[in-house]
Amino acid sequence: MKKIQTTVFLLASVFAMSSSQAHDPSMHAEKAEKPKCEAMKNMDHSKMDVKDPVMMAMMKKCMSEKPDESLHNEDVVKSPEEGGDVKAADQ
Amino acid sequence: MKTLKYLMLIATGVFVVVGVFIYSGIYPMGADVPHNKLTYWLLETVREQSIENASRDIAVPPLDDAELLLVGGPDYNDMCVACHLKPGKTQSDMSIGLYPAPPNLSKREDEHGHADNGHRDPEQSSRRQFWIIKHGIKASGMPAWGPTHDEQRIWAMVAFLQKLPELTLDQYQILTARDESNTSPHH
Repeated sequence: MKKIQTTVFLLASVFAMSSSQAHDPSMHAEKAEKPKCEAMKNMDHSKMDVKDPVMMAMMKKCMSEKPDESLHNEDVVKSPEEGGDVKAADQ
Repeated sequence: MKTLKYLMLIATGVFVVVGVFIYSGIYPMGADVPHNKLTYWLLETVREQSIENASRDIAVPPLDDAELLLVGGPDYNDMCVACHLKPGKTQSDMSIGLYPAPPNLSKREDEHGHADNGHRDPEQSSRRQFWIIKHGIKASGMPAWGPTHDEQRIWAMVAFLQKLPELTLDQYQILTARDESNTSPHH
Protein backbone atom coordinates (compact mmCIF):
# COMPACT_ATOMS: atom_id res chain seq x y z
CA MET A 1 0.00 0.00 0.00
CA LYS A 2 2.81 2.35 0.95
CA LYS A 3 4.58 1.50 -2.31
CA ILE A 4 1.51 2.53 -4.34
CA GLN A 5 1.20 5.78 -2.39
CA THR A 6 4.87 6.57 -3.03
CA THR A 7 4.52 5.82 -6.75
CA VAL A 8 1.40 7.98 -7.04
CA PHE A 9 3.14 10.80 -5.16
CA LEU A 10 6.22 10.61 -7.38
CA LEU A 11 4.15 10.56 -10.57
CA ALA A 12 2.07 13.52 -9.36
CA SER A 13 5.27 15.45 -8.49
CA VAL A 14 6.81 14.80 -11.90
CA PHE A 15 3.57 15.87 -13.62
CA ALA A 16 3.28 19.02 -11.51
CA MET A 17 6.90 19.97 -12.21
CA SER A 18 6.60 19.46 -15.95
CA SER A 19 3.35 21.40 -16.26
CA SER A 20 4.67 24.35 -14.27
CA GLN A 21 7.67 24.64 -16.59
CA ALA A 22 5.86 23.83 -19.80
CA HIS A 23 5.97 27.34 -21.18
CA ASP A 24 9.26 28.49 -19.84
CA PRO A 25 11.23 29.64 -22.93
CA SER A 26 14.18 27.50 -21.85
CA MET A 27 11.97 24.47 -22.47
CA HIS A 28 12.02 25.35 -26.14
CA ALA A 29 15.79 25.07 -26.39
CA GLU A 30 15.53 21.72 -28.14
CA LYS A 31 13.71 23.52 -30.98
CA ALA A 32 16.47 26.13 -31.18
CA GLU A 33 16.89 27.55 -34.65
CA LYS A 34 19.34 30.12 -35.93
CA PRO A 35 17.95 33.23 -37.61
CA LYS A 36 18.80 33.19 -41.29
CA CYS A 37 20.31 36.65 -41.34
CA GLU A 38 21.83 36.21 -44.77
CA ALA A 39 18.28 36.70 -46.10
CA MET A 40 18.56 40.38 -45.15
CA LYS A 41 20.99 40.80 -48.03
CA ASN A 42 18.29 39.98 -50.54
CA MET A 43 15.68 42.32 -49.11
CA ASP A 44 14.76 45.49 -50.92
CA HIS A 45 16.68 48.00 -48.83
CA SER A 46 15.16 51.00 -50.56
CA LYS A 47 11.86 50.08 -48.90
CA MET A 48 13.38 49.58 -45.47
CA ASP A 49 12.86 52.10 -42.73
CA VAL A 50 15.48 51.90 -39.98
CA LYS A 51 12.95 53.26 -37.49
CA ASP A 52 10.51 50.47 -38.26
CA PRO A 53 10.28 48.17 -35.20
CA VAL A 54 10.37 45.09 -37.46
CA MET A 55 13.57 46.31 -39.11
CA MET A 56 15.09 47.24 -35.74
CA ALA A 57 14.18 43.86 -34.28
CA MET A 58 15.74 42.04 -37.22
CA MET A 59 18.95 44.05 -36.93
CA LYS A 60 19.09 43.45 -33.20
CA LYS A 61 18.56 39.76 -33.67
CA CYS A 62 21.19 39.45 -36.37
CA MET A 63 23.73 41.56 -34.50
CA SER A 64 23.34 39.37 -31.43
CA GLU A 65 24.31 36.37 -33.50
CA LYS A 66 27.95 35.35 -33.60
CA PRO A 67 29.23 36.50 -37.02
CA ASP A 68 31.13 33.30 -37.69
CA GLU A 69 28.02 31.22 -37.10
CA SER A 70 25.36 32.90 -39.15
CA LEU A 71 26.97 35.64 -41.16
CA HIS A 72 30.11 36.03 -43.11
CA ASN A 73 32.22 38.97 -42.02
CA GLU A 74 31.15 41.07 -44.97
CA ASP A 75 27.48 40.45 -44.20
CA VAL A 76 27.50 41.87 -40.67
CA VAL A 77 24.75 44.45 -40.33
CA LYS A 78 25.59 47.53 -38.30
CA SER A 79 22.92 49.49 -36.51
CA PRO A 80 22.56 53.22 -37.30
CA GLU A 81 23.90 53.97 -33.80
CA GLU A 82 27.09 52.14 -34.69
CA GLY A 83 27.63 54.18 -37.78
CA GLY A 84 26.19 51.62 -40.13
CA ASP A 85 23.08 51.80 -42.22
CA VAL A 86 20.68 49.39 -43.76
CA LYS A 87 22.66 49.34 -46.97
CA ALA A 88 25.65 47.84 -45.13
CA ALA A 89 24.05 44.47 -45.63
CA ASP A 90 23.61 45.14 -49.29
CA GLN A 91 27.25 45.03 -50.21
CA MET B 1 -56.47 35.20 -17.84
CA LYS B 2 -57.01 33.07 -20.92
CA THR B 3 -53.97 34.66 -22.63
CA LEU B 4 -51.81 33.88 -19.63
CA LYS B 5 -53.01 30.28 -19.75
CA TYR B 6 -52.02 30.01 -23.43
CA LEU B 7 -48.65 31.59 -22.78
CA MET B 8 -47.98 29.12 -19.96
CA LEU B 9 -48.98 26.28 -22.26
CA ILE B 10 -46.67 27.48 -25.05
CA ALA B 11 -43.76 28.01 -22.62
CA THR B 12 -44.25 24.50 -21.22
CA GLY B 13 -44.38 23.08 -24.74
CA VAL B 14 -41.16 24.86 -25.74
CA PHE B 15 -39.47 23.73 -22.52
CA VAL B 16 -40.46 20.09 -23.19
CA VAL B 17 -39.33 20.22 -26.85
CA VAL B 18 -35.96 21.75 -25.88
CA GLY B 19 -35.54 19.16 -23.12
CA VAL B 20 -36.31 16.28 -25.51
CA PHE B 21 -33.89 17.74 -28.07
CA ILE B 22 -31.08 18.10 -25.53
CA TYR B 23 -31.44 14.61 -24.08
CA SER B 24 -32.12 12.84 -27.39
CA GLY B 25 -28.48 13.24 -28.43
CA ILE B 26 -29.42 14.00 -32.03
CA TYR B 27 -27.38 17.20 -32.29
CA PRO B 28 -24.10 16.37 -34.12
CA MET B 29 -21.13 17.31 -31.92
CA GLY B 30 -18.33 16.14 -34.23
CA ALA B 31 -15.94 18.90 -35.30
CA ASP B 32 -16.28 17.66 -38.88
CA VAL B 33 -19.97 18.61 -39.06
CA PRO B 34 -20.53 22.39 -39.15
CA HIS B 35 -23.16 24.03 -36.96
CA ASN B 36 -26.37 25.10 -38.62
CA LYS B 37 -26.55 28.81 -39.38
CA LEU B 38 -28.66 29.68 -36.35
CA THR B 39 -26.37 27.91 -33.87
CA TYR B 40 -23.28 29.38 -35.54
CA TRP B 41 -24.69 32.89 -35.41
CA LEU B 42 -25.77 32.45 -31.80
CA LEU B 43 -22.38 31.15 -30.60
CA GLU B 44 -20.43 33.68 -32.65
CA THR B 45 -22.50 36.59 -31.42
CA VAL B 46 -22.31 35.49 -27.78
CA ARG B 47 -18.52 35.06 -28.13
CA GLU B 48 -17.87 38.40 -29.81
CA GLN B 49 -20.14 40.35 -27.47
CA SER B 50 -18.55 38.71 -24.46
CA ILE B 51 -14.99 39.47 -25.59
CA GLU B 52 -15.92 43.03 -26.49
CA ASN B 53 -17.46 43.56 -23.10
CA ALA B 54 -14.69 41.90 -21.11
CA SER B 55 -11.82 43.63 -22.92
CA ARG B 56 -13.32 47.12 -22.99
CA ASP B 57 -11.25 48.60 -20.18
CA ILE B 58 -7.90 47.05 -21.00
CA ALA B 59 -5.21 49.74 -21.40
CA VAL B 60 -2.99 49.02 -24.39
CA PRO B 61 0.72 49.80 -23.82
CA PRO B 62 2.95 51.07 -26.67
CA LEU B 63 3.51 48.05 -28.91
CA ASP B 64 5.79 49.46 -31.61
CA ASP B 65 8.84 48.10 -29.89
CA ALA B 66 11.58 45.89 -31.34
CA GLU B 67 12.20 44.18 -28.00
CA LEU B 68 8.57 43.11 -27.76
CA LEU B 69 8.75 41.63 -31.25
CA LEU B 70 11.82 39.62 -30.30
CA VAL B 71 10.02 38.16 -27.28
CA GLY B 72 6.63 37.68 -28.93
CA GLY B 73 7.92 36.21 -32.19
CA PRO B 74 9.53 33.03 -30.81
CA ASP B 75 6.56 32.50 -28.48
CA TYR B 76 4.15 32.76 -31.42
CA ASN B 77 6.21 30.31 -33.42
CA ASP B 78 6.30 27.81 -30.55
CA MET B 79 2.76 28.08 -29.27
CA CYS B 80 0.45 29.46 -31.96
CA VAL B 81 1.73 28.68 -35.43
CA ALA B 82 0.31 25.16 -35.62
CA CYS B 83 -3.23 26.56 -35.63
CA HIS B 84 -2.82 30.20 -36.65
CA LEU B 85 -0.26 29.66 -39.43
CA LYS B 86 2.55 31.89 -40.72
CA PRO B 87 3.48 33.73 -43.92
CA GLY B 88 3.46 31.35 -46.86
CA LYS B 89 1.39 28.71 -45.10
CA THR B 90 -2.33 28.52 -45.81
CA GLN B 91 -3.31 25.44 -43.83
CA SER B 92 -2.18 22.81 -41.34
CA ASP B 93 -3.69 19.68 -39.82
CA MET B 94 -4.89 21.79 -36.91
CA SER B 95 -6.33 24.61 -38.99
CA ILE B 96 -8.23 22.07 -41.09
CA GLY B 97 -9.37 19.88 -38.21
CA LEU B 98 -10.45 22.44 -35.62
CA TYR B 99 -14.00 23.76 -35.59
CA PRO B 100 -14.56 26.63 -35.58
CA ALA B 101 -11.50 27.02 -37.80
CA PRO B 102 -8.81 29.14 -36.13
CA PRO B 103 -8.13 32.43 -37.92
CA ASN B 104 -5.05 32.64 -40.13
CA LEU B 105 -3.28 35.39 -38.23
CA SER B 106 -0.72 35.94 -40.96
CA LYS B 107 -3.53 37.68 -42.78
CA ARG B 108 -5.21 40.96 -41.87
CA GLU B 109 -8.42 40.79 -39.80
CA ASP B 110 -10.62 41.70 -42.74
CA GLU B 111 -9.00 38.92 -44.81
CA HIS B 112 -9.29 36.02 -42.38
CA GLY B 113 -12.98 36.59 -41.71
CA HIS B 114 -12.85 36.58 -37.90
CA ALA B 115 -13.22 40.28 -37.42
CA ASP B 116 -17.05 40.16 -37.42
CA ASN B 117 -17.21 43.56 -39.11
CA GLY B 118 -13.61 43.85 -40.29
CA HIS B 119 -13.02 47.44 -39.23
CA ARG B 120 -11.46 47.39 -35.80
CA ASP B 121 -8.79 49.96 -35.14
CA PRO B 122 -5.38 48.65 -33.99
CA GLU B 123 -6.10 49.49 -30.36
CA GLN B 124 -9.39 47.58 -30.31
CA SER B 125 -7.72 44.72 -32.11
CA SER B 126 -4.80 44.63 -29.62
CA ARG B 127 -7.16 44.72 -26.65
CA ARG B 128 -9.14 41.85 -28.10
CA GLN B 129 -6.05 39.77 -28.89
CA PHE B 130 -4.64 40.33 -25.40
CA TRP B 131 -7.86 39.19 -23.78
CA ILE B 132 -8.17 36.10 -25.98
CA ILE B 133 -4.54 35.04 -25.43
CA LYS B 134 -4.85 35.55 -21.69
CA HIS B 135 -8.25 33.93 -21.14
CA GLY B 136 -8.70 31.60 -24.11
CA ILE B 137 -12.10 30.76 -25.59
CA LYS B 138 -14.31 27.99 -24.31
CA ALA B 139 -14.90 24.95 -26.56
CA SER B 140 -12.86 26.37 -29.40
CA GLY B 141 -9.41 24.85 -28.90
CA MET B 142 -8.00 28.24 -27.85
CA PRO B 143 -6.28 27.78 -24.47
CA ALA B 144 -5.90 30.42 -21.75
CA TRP B 145 -2.20 31.34 -21.65
CA GLY B 146 -2.73 33.66 -18.67
CA PRO B 147 -2.07 31.06 -15.97
CA THR B 148 1.39 30.28 -17.39
CA HIS B 149 2.45 33.58 -18.99
CA ASP B 150 2.70 37.00 -17.39
CA GLU B 151 1.02 40.03 -18.95
CA GLN B 152 4.24 41.49 -20.34
CA ARG B 153 4.85 38.31 -22.29
CA ILE B 154 1.28 38.27 -23.59
CA TRP B 155 1.60 41.90 -24.72
CA ALA B 156 4.77 40.88 -26.58
CA MET B 157 2.73 38.29 -28.47
CA VAL B 158 0.12 40.95 -29.25
CA ALA B 159 2.85 43.27 -30.54
CA PHE B 160 4.06 40.49 -32.81
CA LEU B 161 0.52 39.70 -33.99
CA GLN B 162 0.02 43.33 -34.98
CA LYS B 163 3.02 43.10 -37.33
CA LEU B 164 2.52 39.52 -38.50
CA PRO B 165 0.27 40.21 -41.53
CA GLU B 166 2.97 42.49 -42.99
CA LEU B 167 5.88 40.09 -42.53
CA THR B 168 7.57 38.21 -45.35
CA LEU B 169 8.67 34.63 -44.80
CA ASP B 170 12.30 35.74 -44.30
CA GLN B 171 11.35 38.41 -41.80
CA TYR B 172 9.19 35.89 -39.97
CA GLN B 173 12.05 33.39 -39.77
CA ILE B 174 14.49 35.93 -38.34
CA LEU B 175 12.06 37.34 -35.79
CA THR B 176 10.82 33.96 -34.57
CA ALA B 177 14.06 31.97 -34.47
CA ARG B 178 14.66 30.99 -30.88
CA ASP B 179 18.33 30.35 -30.53
CA GLU B 180 20.24 29.78 -27.30
CA SER B 181 20.51 33.51 -26.63
CA ASN B 182 16.77 33.94 -26.07
CA THR B 183 15.75 30.75 -24.35
CA SER B 184 16.46 32.03 -20.87
CA PRO B 185 13.39 32.56 -18.64
CA HIS B 186 12.07 36.12 -18.63
CA HIS B 187 8.95 35.89 -16.54
